[in-house]
Amino acid sequence: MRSTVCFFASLAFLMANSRFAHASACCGTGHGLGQRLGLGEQSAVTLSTRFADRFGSYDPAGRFFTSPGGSFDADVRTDVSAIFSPLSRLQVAVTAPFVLNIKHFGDDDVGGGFGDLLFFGRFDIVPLSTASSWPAVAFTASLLLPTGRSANEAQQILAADATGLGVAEIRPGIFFEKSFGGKATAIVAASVGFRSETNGSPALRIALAPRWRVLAAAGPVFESGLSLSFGGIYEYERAPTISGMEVPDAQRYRLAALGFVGYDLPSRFALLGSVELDLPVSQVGKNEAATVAISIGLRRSFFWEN
Amino acid sequence: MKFTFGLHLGAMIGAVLVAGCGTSDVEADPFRDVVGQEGRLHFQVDAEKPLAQGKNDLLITIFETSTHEAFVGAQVQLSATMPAMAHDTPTTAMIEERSGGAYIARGLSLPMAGRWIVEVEASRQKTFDTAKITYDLH
Repeated sequence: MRSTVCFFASLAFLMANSRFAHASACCGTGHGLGQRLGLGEQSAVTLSTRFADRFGSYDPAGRFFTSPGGSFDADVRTDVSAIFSPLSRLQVAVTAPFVLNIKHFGDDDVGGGFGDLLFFGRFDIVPLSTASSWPAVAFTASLLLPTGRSANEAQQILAADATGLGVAEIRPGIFFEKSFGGKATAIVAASVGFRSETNGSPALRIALAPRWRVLAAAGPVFESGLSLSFGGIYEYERAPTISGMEVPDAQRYRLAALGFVGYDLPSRFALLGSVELDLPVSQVGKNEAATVAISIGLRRSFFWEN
Repeated sequence: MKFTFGLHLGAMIGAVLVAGCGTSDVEADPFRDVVGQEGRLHFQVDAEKPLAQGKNDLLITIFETSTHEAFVGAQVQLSATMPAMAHDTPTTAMIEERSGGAYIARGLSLPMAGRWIVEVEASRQKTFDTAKITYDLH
């Protein structure tokens, strides 16, 4: 049972630490899927750190280019997350991020600060069961508040002080999960983020398009407390509009491979890790950075008394 | 919308199979030669080295389209936006006039990889024009 819980925790960790709001701290997206409690858990807190390095980018034609030699573009993001289940089918969570950006392109630029605060909710339509042949189904929703500094507000040469998207985002979604007798688990999650409008200089009305996201992952759960999973994530958004006009050739998409691992430790702690890699191949991304990100975290869960 | 999204995902997977791996370290040629949106001024923009993330210096030479005379003594402004991510640059370039309608824009900051639209505005008395120039940074 604990192994299964560890899997859920790992999954939650992956979702909370996937690139969604990073370096894109400025221009990316908000967390969408947030955390998730395992079977029997009432609440959990997670401290995690994610290191991401940009190694390339996809241009407007979808061609992949490696970053210039001698350059460096990385960020370190630390999340403090708490999740709580006030009702048996309802979970609510909050994540507070701290972002540090480190860049070198001729000039060095280091900056960071508090990122975008994220609230998350999940309601189980069909609760998860390791015995059922039916998959669990849940509605999810997240609200990202622009508490970080956006790229438009950044002051430093390489915008290393940008830590947030700059707009609010509300992201409804749906989550399917299937446990294969506690030996393996697979998930599919989809969501779409709707963003508020913002004003650019000089007083232009800028509206980012909704950002779609699909995530799928599956893997084994071992009796030892180890769980593994592998999958992918795909994100897509149409071009933004500026003063009502859609910007030509500015749609964005990306496809990344995911892997994560969780391991149960004593006293209801779990060690969690993940890797996310944007595929260095043309036509799998457009108007996006290509990064590799490694996350590690420690999670402590709390169970219902009865 | 959902159909479009699914269609796009399918098309993308097909394109990957055809296109294969990407390109490395291609630098952007900085030279651009454009007529302004009003058709009154002709802009030539160049740099000593390809544009890159960080600070860039641009040499902007401006002529009157009708007479081909150098556009001297003008007010020149430079701005840059990243349309896909809908933001601009964190700092403003400093403009210095040289002789013969040439202007140097120093310290244009392009903080991220991707497509940038650099907008050059030039005005003198009643003559005004603007040019939008595209650069792709990797």
